[in-house]
This record gives sequence, structure tokens and C-alpha cells, in this order.
Amino acid sequence: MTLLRQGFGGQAPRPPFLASWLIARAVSDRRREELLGDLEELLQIQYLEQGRRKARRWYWRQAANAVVDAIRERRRQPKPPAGDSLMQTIIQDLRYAFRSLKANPGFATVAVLMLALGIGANSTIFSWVNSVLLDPMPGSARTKELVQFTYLYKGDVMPSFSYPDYQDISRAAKTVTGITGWDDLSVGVIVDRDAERAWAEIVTTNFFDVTGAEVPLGRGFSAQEEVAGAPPTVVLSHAYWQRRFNRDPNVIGRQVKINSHPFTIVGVSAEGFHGAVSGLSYDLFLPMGTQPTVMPGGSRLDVRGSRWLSLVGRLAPGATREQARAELDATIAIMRTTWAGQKRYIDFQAAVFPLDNSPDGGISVLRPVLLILMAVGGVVLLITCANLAGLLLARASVRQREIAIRLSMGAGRWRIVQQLLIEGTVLAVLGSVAALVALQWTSGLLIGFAPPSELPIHLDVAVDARVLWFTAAVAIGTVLLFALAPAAQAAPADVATTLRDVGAAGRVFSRHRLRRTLVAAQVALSISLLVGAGLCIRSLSAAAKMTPGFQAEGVVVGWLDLFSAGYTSDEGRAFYARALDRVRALPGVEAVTLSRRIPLGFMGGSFSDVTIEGHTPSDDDPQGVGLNSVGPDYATTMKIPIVKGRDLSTSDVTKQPLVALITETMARIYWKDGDAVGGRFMFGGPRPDQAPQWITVVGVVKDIKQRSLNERPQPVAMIPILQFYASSAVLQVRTTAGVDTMAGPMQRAMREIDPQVPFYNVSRLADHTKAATFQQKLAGDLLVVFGVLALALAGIGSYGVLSYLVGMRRREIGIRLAVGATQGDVFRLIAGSGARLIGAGVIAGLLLSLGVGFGLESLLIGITPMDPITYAGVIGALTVVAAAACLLPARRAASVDPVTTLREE
Amino acid sequence: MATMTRTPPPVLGEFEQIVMLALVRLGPDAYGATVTAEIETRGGRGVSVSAVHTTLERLEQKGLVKSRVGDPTPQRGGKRKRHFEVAALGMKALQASYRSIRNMADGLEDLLGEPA
Repeated sequence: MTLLRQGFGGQAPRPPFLASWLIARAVSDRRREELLGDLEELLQIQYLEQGRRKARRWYWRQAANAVVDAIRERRRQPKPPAGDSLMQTIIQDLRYAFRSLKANPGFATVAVLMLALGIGANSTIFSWVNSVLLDPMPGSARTKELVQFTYLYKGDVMPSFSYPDYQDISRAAKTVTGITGWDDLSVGVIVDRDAERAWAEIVTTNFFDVTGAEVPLGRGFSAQEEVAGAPPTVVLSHAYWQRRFNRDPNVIGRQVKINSHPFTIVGVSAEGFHGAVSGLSYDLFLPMGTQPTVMPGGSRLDVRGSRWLSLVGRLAPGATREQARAELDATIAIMRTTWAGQKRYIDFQAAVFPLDNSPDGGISVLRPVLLILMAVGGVVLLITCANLAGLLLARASVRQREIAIRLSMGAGRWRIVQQLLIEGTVLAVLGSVAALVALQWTSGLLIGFAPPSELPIHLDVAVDARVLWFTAAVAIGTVLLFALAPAAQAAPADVATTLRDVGAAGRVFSRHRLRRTLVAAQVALSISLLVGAGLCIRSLSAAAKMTPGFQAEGVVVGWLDLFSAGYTSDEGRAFYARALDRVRALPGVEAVTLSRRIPLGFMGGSFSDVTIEGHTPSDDDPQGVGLNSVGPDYATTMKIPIVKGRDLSTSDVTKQPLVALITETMARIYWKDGDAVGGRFMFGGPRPDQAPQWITVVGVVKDIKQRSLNERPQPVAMIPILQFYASSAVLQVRTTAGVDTMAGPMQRAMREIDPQVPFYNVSRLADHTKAATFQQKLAGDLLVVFGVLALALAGIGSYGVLSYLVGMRRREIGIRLAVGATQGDVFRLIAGSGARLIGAGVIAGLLLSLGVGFGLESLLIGITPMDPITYAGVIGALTVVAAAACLLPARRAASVDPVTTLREE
Repeated sequence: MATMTRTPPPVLGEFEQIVMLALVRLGPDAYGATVTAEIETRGGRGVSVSAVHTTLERLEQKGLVKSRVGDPTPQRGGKRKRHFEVAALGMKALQASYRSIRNMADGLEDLLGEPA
């Protein structure tokens, strides 16, 4: 205990939430607080002696013991005398429910499993929504007040601002208490001579004030650090402090090297704060004044044309998002007037988003998928309910005589309904418990959603009170859905008839209208899920066929960072040339090149205004062309077909004439007949103080997709990296050998040239370009799983209802056969009623599917929401299942022996 | 005529004895967590905190121990503790149990082993 009082370095572990919740529910009020306190105190000791994992396990054991003890204790209490108070009848009904479930273990297991599945799917999806959408910036204060500012350009969101934009906008803003801006970058960090890569956010110095993220150790940034030339400082994230500095409290004031420059550590941010972008976790925070030091390309702080900052503001008390937008619009209008001479901000408007609908970061990728999943979860739950309602109805009709007897002996109708509802509740509670147990594991599956990327992805899902409440609400809703209808039906209006007639065919039909409707509803819902799944799968295969314009298969890539190694542009060019020579000589290499960025990756692209020699600018011209710096043999290595002219070569270097490869679309827009080879263009416009830097087009290549497979063909210019130097690049190697064979030799080759240069993330290009179809893949996978599940449930449901109907109509069938119907007639009768049932479901389902298709439209690639092949496929699959569900009962009906059946009753 | 007989102190169960011995040992510092820790270290057996609590509650109902509410501490997540001490009747019961164990064990030391 003394150890405890002295305190210890690590943070005290919190008791597992679910376990202490269980204890709190089980134990009487009198002892609750003391028991939880004792457990928490002993947990600290367990943690110190045994470590976190064993301590948690110990706590769970204690919780189990407490629950068992509490149950024993309650049994020991004297039982209250039997009576008719509501509480007592409920207890009676509970006991009765458990007994009747024990008597039908098969039914109980199926029902609980179905509920666990339905509720579990919804809880899991909600736990994801909870941590991604409901908590978009963990660790910030009053996140609901935070809004993201963006430009709108001709209706398209452009999320980035220049630093001068930021200054103008934040100076003019009155509807917000503060605006902060940031960008992220990968840096090289050296601590005590150990070099590594880290992800940093470069932020305006009010970053911690605006977000409300705390800096418990040391300090945040001061206004002086906003200015270039201030002594460079850095704030560590808690996770990085823990990983790299072992939670050393004396870290403040230490020096580290970031991109070869000395920085002083001034603070450590709070645990649980990972930076401003949802789904990503940053290691370092750098103040704005260090931008010229840590980023290539010189200072951007006074460059109005360079848009690179994301902006988030905190709404002032009482201000609305709409007011903030109107204010930003007004500011942009002023900026437009001020810079009219340079034609800036033409057609720019303002947009302001809540953080949970941010147009960039993890949310923009996950939000559509999560919303679809929520809908899918709801549908699966509805199917589960429909199925269970069917099961309960079947049981209710079996128990009809029992119920009628109870009614005739004076039981109130409500009493019967209450008892059936309690049976449903017991099932739902058991299902929810199973779902919650599974949730501990399934909630973590969100990380499987992480796209392939070199970004520091962080998707941590906490199962908190909100998730538990949601699960409880879903369980209650479920009970109402699946138990109420059968309960209402089970209390028959006419006791006498029921007692006499149970089992006769007379009442069967009206009763089964509900069951038929339920089956048709299941069929309809599962069709809509399957159509959704089919559309995603078709999109994927359409995307696979859709050539992005280059061949990603067979290319191995690796990232080079010359900037953090302190290279000048001349040294960098020499390095690139040597690197290309070395790799080209490796065995198995067909071609090698470099590029500033890879197409279809998650990292966006860059754009530039161009002036074309001999082309009169018109309003139809695009807002700039896409830009990539690439190495020699780029088109050859990427297998991009050359339409005209030549590929870039090793002789396109400095001091030689500036050249470029352009895409067909760019050629078509700016040159008559697309005949661009030999034509010249320049970036930006001519400047009076210098001679025009004309770039000559030496080759035209087929169009390549830049950001998504859906995009229209883009004008893109590719310029030689050996002429237009970029301090970081991706080495791209076309090889017959795989990534495993190539990674070693490539890394050795780079190390031999200069061991100081970071060469990392060696991987297959195809893995990165998959990012382009990531959403479709994710949505498709999940919809297939749920769709097949739903189809199976619907199949079982239809089979159940039909075979039940056959059972009920045995007598009728017997009579029909006795008076001369053939087996074929009976078969057709039953199969026909099944087909009508399913047919109704199919029609409803197809109508529903149209809605689903248009809901998914934004995700579809290369097909329409009414893709005929998808619909045909789904109907085909359904026919097979439906046929199986109808034929078996129909065959059984046809084989009824009229003599035995008629003798039975 | 019947003489006035003293009501004999209640007979203690084995775990009740262990818990009460722990209370005597700990004195004023006795509450759920310390009692559990004491039984685990000295008694050499794992016990559940809940069992200790249940037993203490039962002993209190029988009037064998007394309790008072103590201060919350940060290690407990700010939750209060309940201190226990052996009541007079409890002390008698403990003495009686100990006496009967000792009497029953008398002369069997070779078999049972000397208490260390």
C-alpha cells in the first residue's frame, strides 16, 4: 500500500468498464461503493505486481465472483408471499419463461443466436459510428463547436488555404473565437543519433487553444513561434512520448533533430489526443514558424498562391455554422476585390462543415461506408425480427390450447400478453449479452477498414456507456418488434371456438396472413441487400477492367526522402541519377523510374496554372493542369502507351531544354487537332522581370487516372524530376521478381549510395492503387456477408412457414387426395402458394432495391444503379433458394397418405 | 430450578474466523481491501473481495463486528471505504473458536506439525 501512496510512473489503470458495471448492478446499494473502491484499490496493486493484462483478468474474476455471490445472497433472502402485484407476476412470468426455454433448447438456441447476430451487428456498427462520427477529434474540448472551413470552387470542395488566406480570414472572423490551421508532413527525427520517420502536424500557434487539447507536460506554442526565424520548438504527442521517450518527465528542454535541424522539446500533449485529423495519429506538433525549415520548397508563409492549410474554427457562443459561412463568404468577396489585379479568388465561395462531416481525413472515407452499414444493420435486424416473430407465432399456435385454457380459467388477456412479452425480453437480454461479449472483439474490426496507405492510421474503438445504452435501446426495440405482434395474436378473441377448433384448418388462414407477410418482408429486405452487394461487386469488377491508363501489376515502389537528409537540389539530382543507374543494373529489373507521387494513391495531387504558347485562354479552359515530376522512362516503366513523340530520357537534365510529357486530354484542350509535340507551355503566367521558361512537349501519352477511377480524363503534365527537382520521390521498378525478392537488393543499393537517406515503405504499387476502389471493396465485402446472411434467414423463414402450413393442412390434403386429386395437383397447390408468397416478396424487394441502388450511386463505378446484370443475378440466386424452400414441403405434402391422415383425427 | 445460563457466543465458520483474525491483526487500518490483501499474503490463499464483503456484512448483522464509514482516497477512484473492528461479542466468539481448535488439536502436534 505504501507503494501506492508514493505514486508511480505509469498511469493508474481504470477498471474494465463492463466488469464494474456488472458489479454495480449485481451488488446491493449498501455495499456498492465500498466494494468498487476496494476492488479499484487492489487493482492498482495487481497492476504493479502482475502487469496490466493480468490485473484486468483478475478484475474480471472478481466481478464474476461478486455476481455469483450476489445471486446466492438473494436466494438466501426469504421469498415474499405469492400475490398478484405486478412485480410478483413478472417474477412468475420470468420463471415460467426460463422453464419453457429450457424445455425447448433448440428453439432457445436459434432465437438467442439470431438475436445476438442482429443486435451484435448493430452494436458493432454503432461502436464504430460512435468513435468515428460522434467523436471526430478525440481529446479536443467541446468538439461540437468546432467547424471546418473550406473553399467551394464551382461547386467542388477545395479544403486548403494559403497562409495569407488564413491570416485574412482569421483577422476578419467574428463568429468564431479562434481559427487554427495545419498541414501534415512526414519528417526525419534524430534522437540521440537514432534516426527514424515520424508524422508531424505543422500548426498555427493557437492550435492547442482553439482545439482545446491540453498540454499537461510543459507548454503549448506561444505567438512568437508563429514567425519564421523563431527558435524551433516541438510538442510531442503522448503516444510518441511514451514510445520514443519512455514517458520521461525530464524530456522538456531536450534537443532533437528534425529534418537535420535542432529543435527543443517544449511540451507533451494529453493522452488520447492524436492530432486534428480523424483516424490519423501524429507523433509531433511543430509551430508555423518552422515551416521554411521543415518543408521543402522554401517559405510558404507569404505565398498567396500556395494553398496547403486545413482550417478549423471554434464557433463563438450563440453563433451558427450558417453565420460563419456567410461571414467567410463576405471575407472572400473582400479578398477578391483586393486581389482583382491578379484575378485571384474568382468563382470562390465559402463552405463550413461540422467536423463529423469533414470533407477530408478519415471521416470522408469512412462516413459513406458507415452510413450504408447503419442502414444494412437496421435491415438485418428487421429480418431477424421478422424471422423470430415467425418462430414465436409458430410456438404461439402450438400453445394456443394452453393459452385458451388459461384464459377460460380467468387469466386476463393483458396477463397473457405480458407473459409472452417477458419471454421475448428474456430472449433479447440473452441475445444482447452474447452480442456485448462479442462486441469486445468485433468493435476492434474497424481497423480492417484502414485503407492501404503510408499514413499513420489510428482507429481505436472504445466500448463506452453510449454503446451500452444503444445496445439496450436496440434490444428493447427488438422485443417490441418481434414479440408484440405474436403476443397480440396469441390472445384469441373467442375462447370457446379456440378450445374446440384448435388444429382445424378454419382459423389457420387469417392467422397466417401475418406470417406470410413476415416471410414476404424478409424476402424483400434480403433482395435489397443482395442488390446492394451485387452493385458493389459489379463496380469492383468493372473497376478491375477499367484501365487506369497504366499497369500497376509488376511494379515495386519505395519512398525516398532526400530533404530530411539535408540534400541540396544539385546533390539530390546526382543522387537520383545514381539511384536509377544502380537499380537498373539489378537482376530482374525491366525498367526503373521515379515520380513525385503515385497515381490513385491516397495522397492527393498538385495542380498548376499554365500558359500555352499560341493558345487564346477561354472560359472553357480547366482550372490548371495536374502535375507530377517523374524520372526518365516513366511511360515505359508504367506501361503508359505513347501516342506521339517520345518518353522522357536520362538526357533530359538541367541545362538541357525543359521538356514534358502530357496526356491526350491536355493535348486536345490546348492544341488544334491534339498535335502537341513540339508545342510549348509554361507554369503560371509570363513575369515581366524574367525571360519566359518555356517547356517543350516531347511526347503525348494516353490518359491516366489520377485520383479516382470515376474521374473524367484529366489534363496532366509530367515534367522530368531531374529538371524540376523534388526532394522526395517514389522509386518505381518494373520487375519480373516479386516485392519480397526486390526489397532487399533495392534497400542495399540505396544504402550503398548514402546510408543517411531514408528509403522506406517498399511495397507493391498495386496495393496502393487499390486505395482507389477501397470504398467499393469495403462496402461490397460487408454487403455480401450481410446479404448472404439475410438470404439464408429468408430461406429458412419461407421453408419454416411453408412446412408449417403443410402440417396444418394435412387433413385438407388428405381429403383432396381421397376425393381424387393427384399427387401432382397437391404438389402444384403447395408449391404455388409458396411461389405466390415469395413472388410478392420479390416484387416488393425489387422496388426497395431501386432506392438502395440510388443510395449507393456515389460509390458505383462504371455501372448504373439499375445495372441489369446485378438484378438478374440476384433474382437468379433467389429463385434457387426459393425453389429449395418451396419444393421440399410440397414434396412432403404430395406424399401424404390420405388413409392415415384421415384416421389421425 | 434452572440457573441463569449465559448465552454462548455464536459458533464461527472457518472463513469467518480467518476474516476476524485479519481484523484483529490490522486494527484501525482494517477495511475490505486490506483484509483481502492480509488474507492473501498471510493465509496464502486467493480470496474474492466480494466473499470478504459478504462475510463482513453477515458478521455485522450478527453483532460480531462493528463498522464505520471512512474517507475516500484517490487510489479508490474517490470512493469511500468502510472500516471494521471486532465487537466485544465477536472477540468472545473468536476466543471460543480458538480454544476449541486448540483443545481438539492438543497432543496431535506431531501429526499436524508445529506452528512455525
